[in-house]
Amino acid sequence: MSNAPSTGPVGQDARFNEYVVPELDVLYRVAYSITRNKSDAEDLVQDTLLRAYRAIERFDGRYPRAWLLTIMRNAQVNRVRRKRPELMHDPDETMARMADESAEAADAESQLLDKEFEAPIEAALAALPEKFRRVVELVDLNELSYQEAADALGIPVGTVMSRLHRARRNIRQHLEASPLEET
Amino acid sequence: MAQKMMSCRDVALRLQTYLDGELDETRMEQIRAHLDACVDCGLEADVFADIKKDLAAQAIPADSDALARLREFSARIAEEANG
Repeated sequence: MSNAPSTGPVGQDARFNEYVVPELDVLYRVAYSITRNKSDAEDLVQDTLLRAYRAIERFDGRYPRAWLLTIMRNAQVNRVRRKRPELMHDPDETMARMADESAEAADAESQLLDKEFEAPIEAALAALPEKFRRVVELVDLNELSYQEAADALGIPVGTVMSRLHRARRNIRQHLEASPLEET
Repeated sequence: MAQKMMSCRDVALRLQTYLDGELDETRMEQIRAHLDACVDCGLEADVFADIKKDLAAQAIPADSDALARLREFSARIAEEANG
């Protein structure tokens, strides 16, 4: 007889604490990248946590972050589906449009306030098309691996790489074209 | 026997993946050796390494209030499931 509490509420809680709770910070950062809104990010993480708890007994214990990011992506797709059922043809486009819409309100004010203090790198990042910017945010700002970013976005690793590399070349061009700031 | 040096073109193709640490150790070592020896590729790598570093500095600081609430929420899920 095994004494490992692998099933039942106790095992479920232990696994949740072992695999899920340490990833809360990353989950919140990624959720913020996806939703561009603090309140929506927190809601999305809560939704992800509930789904993870229900599924934890079936999780094999390998790559918890990748597993959680996949759950988060599905949760986000469902949230979009509830709000905008007509957008479900292309999940990638759906995520981008969802982010664009929530970003508009959140960003409008901060853009006004921040414009004059904006660092060149920030402007270069903001100038990227959404689907490129999101990959840069996940890999360069939030330090996800290519595979983790692919899981979070529901796209192939090769697409993560090509978008990321193109985005960085784009950022470089943007920086090279920026006039030097007078001090 | 010394390994054949990678060409500048091969390095350019893999430079971003190298900077992200996503290549196997053999390839990482080959590119490292090329960048040490080739001034042009070394400068190119420095440019992208700087961009990557500046981007990392743009990460939003952790929202400690949100994280505290999420930790609380995590604990509550288990309590409610067991209660």
